[in-house]
Amino acid sequence: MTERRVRIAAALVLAGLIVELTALRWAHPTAFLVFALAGVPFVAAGILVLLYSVVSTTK
Amino acid sequence: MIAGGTISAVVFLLSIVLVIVLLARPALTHTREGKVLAFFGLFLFPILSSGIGFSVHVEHSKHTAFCLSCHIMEPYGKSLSVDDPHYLAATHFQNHRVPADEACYTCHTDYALYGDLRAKWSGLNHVWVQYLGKPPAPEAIRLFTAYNNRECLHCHLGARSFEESPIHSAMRNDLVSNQTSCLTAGCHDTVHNVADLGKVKFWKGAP
Repeated sequence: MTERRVRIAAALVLAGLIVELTALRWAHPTAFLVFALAGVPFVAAGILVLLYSVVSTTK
Repeated sequence: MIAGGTISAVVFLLSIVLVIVLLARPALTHTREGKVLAFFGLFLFPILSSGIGFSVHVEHSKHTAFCLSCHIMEPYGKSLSVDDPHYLAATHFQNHRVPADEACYTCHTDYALYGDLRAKWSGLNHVWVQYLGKPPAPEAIRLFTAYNNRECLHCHLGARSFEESPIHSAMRNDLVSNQTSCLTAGCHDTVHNVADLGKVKFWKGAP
């Protein structure tokens, strides 16, 4: 795993978790949209970067 | 007993702490222990947190306050306080025939397999129309499909008040097979009637 990719993955996951946590404090349909359309994609992108990092290092 | 909210807060905070550690010290992942930490911090916990978050949002969406938080739904919320026993939604809400804090969801969910998911999907359609379509006037809002008697009979079938009613007994098969709607004109046809809210009295004891 390269340090740069780990850092990018961590930054993306952190951004996603903060967005998700913020959206959770608000019970409104818009909060669900923010959670699903901003928080989850950030977390998913971070995980994908991490997985890519693992696979590319293994090669 | 630990509350669900506490567990989700702990999982989120743990995820955030692990992610911050990895963000500050990515070199940790060179070691075997660091790789395990990255697996937990950047894979397992974020997935768990997102799953918990999704579940919390689904729970939020069952609450009456959640549905009424949209401006367009305000007249429907007001209709729950109408002081007239012929108003179907109002009489269910005021007499706690449905849980007051989940009033909308109790009647508008789908009591079939994957009914919850279908109800949520319909809810997302509402959000879509609200933000990207042209939202209708509150009194022009119609259900996506005709109201299914199954949702009424889920509670009423077998209840003494239902079974001993001669009208219900005479129409029982038609009601159960959904051939005659409970909301048919002349039966329970006054549901929310938001267009007439200006002409009715309201129950002062409404929460």
